Amino acid sequence: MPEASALERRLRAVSSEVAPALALADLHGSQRDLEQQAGKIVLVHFFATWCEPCRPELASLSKLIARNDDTLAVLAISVAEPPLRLQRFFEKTPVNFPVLLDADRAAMKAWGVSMLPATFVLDHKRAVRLHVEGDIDWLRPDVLARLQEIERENGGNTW
Amino acid sequence: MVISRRKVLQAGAAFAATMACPNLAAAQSIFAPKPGAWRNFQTMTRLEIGEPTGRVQAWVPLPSFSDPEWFRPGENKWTTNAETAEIKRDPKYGAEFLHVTWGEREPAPFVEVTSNFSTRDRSVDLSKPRNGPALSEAERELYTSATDLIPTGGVVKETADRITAGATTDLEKARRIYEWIVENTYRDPKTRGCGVGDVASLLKSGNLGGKCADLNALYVGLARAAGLPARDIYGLRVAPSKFGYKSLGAGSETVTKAQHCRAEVFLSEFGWVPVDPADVRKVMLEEPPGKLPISNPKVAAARKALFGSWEGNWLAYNVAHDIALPGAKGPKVEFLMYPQAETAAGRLDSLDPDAFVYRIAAKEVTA
Repeated sequence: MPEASALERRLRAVSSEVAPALALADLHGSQRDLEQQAGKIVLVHFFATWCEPCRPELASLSKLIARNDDTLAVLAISVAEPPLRLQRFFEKTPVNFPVLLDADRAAMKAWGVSMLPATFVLDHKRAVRLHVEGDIDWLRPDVLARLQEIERENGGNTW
Repeated sequence: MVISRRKVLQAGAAFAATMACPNLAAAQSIFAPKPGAWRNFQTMTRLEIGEPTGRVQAWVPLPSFSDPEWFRPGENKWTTNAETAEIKRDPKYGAEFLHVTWGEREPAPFVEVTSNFSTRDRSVDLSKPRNGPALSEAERELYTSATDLIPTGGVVKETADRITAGATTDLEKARRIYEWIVENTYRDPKTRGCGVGDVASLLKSGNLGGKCADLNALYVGLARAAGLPARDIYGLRVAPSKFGYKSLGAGSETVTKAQHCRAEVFLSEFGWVPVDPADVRKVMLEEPPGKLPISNPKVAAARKALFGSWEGNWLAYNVAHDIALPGAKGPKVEFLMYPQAETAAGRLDSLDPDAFVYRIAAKEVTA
């Protein structure tokens, strides 16, 4: 996990670009999209199980949602991995958010992702507010403060 | 070539369980491959689909790389209870594989593929330019192009430009990239399989750890970005190293997890030149007693040799990237070095041979 200065480089503020469309099947075959997360700040998180820094970050995101599931949602997007491999991975290390399948990297390309992990934080209007390249600890106070700031700007309650 | 179920049930040659053990007592610590006698090998790849549901199909890589100086693919035979088994060829790179399909009612799908090939040590004398075979324009285009995971612009180009700044010859550029990878990356034992070769992620993250498919793909990407034709060759270690390097050979006849990819760079004065910086880092991490410093004589010998030569104890499958497997429901594979299969449940995990199930064995064939 990066130190504070490195964190600032990774946690990049974005000037309210509207997020690309996102509609993918999850690991259980259900269709998922951004509209289903109305009213919440959404973290669109691209990962792969072969990516070593991705593994602890999935656990970090799970803890973040456990504490704030009324205001935050995570859509984790597996990039080009077989579902059977993912099922075994998440049986051993379960998470509390849906895992979507980007089998042919189409979503990764549409979102302009060039490295894993990568996370986009969307506000209530589905504008991209933060773009994170690389892994971060989502429970760090300075990271939580950035998320709370977005929540406040959207008129939501702080947590 | 389509083979009927009756025909494919004919048993092929039995695969001997024994493998000739080289005289390791004579092993030397100096790693210096030189072209010598050709060696003949045979591999046996057996798939038994553990949980067959619905229509099952598989794609088994076959040795299809060829170079008259060091690698000749031979005959492939197979035994299976499949409905069809057909050798197919990737149109872009020429990678060959056996495509096998079973009926929905087959309770225990299996296929056993025996492949023969000949190879030998390889070395290019980089002090003596020669008139090697030229590269066609189409080949130059193919081997300087980006692939899905090996971009040649952005951070890859920026890094290549930095490494090769001031270099005046292609040989110097190629060597600088090799030395940079040896000095700046590391072999990560926690990487699954051989890695996936996501070159941009490696460079952008600053975490330059991985295995051969990562580190040698990084060589290929940086070389291509520097304008040098380069390619990964995906393959399999099939025999111990005769130079006594435990980390650079197959440890037993079972080579199910012995996949290894190497790289080549094309230099107009020398032809295709073998390079394997990933194996230098493997020697550093794994050669007993382990975690050797870069100054260790065994590391230094491997580092010197693996730019321009390599040992012929390895099978070269193909140089293909981003292969669409015919008939597959799943996505393209980044490369075809592991057996692949699909059932109604989807693509099986090729990095988990015990659940898949597949097993690969290799032996040297002495006539």
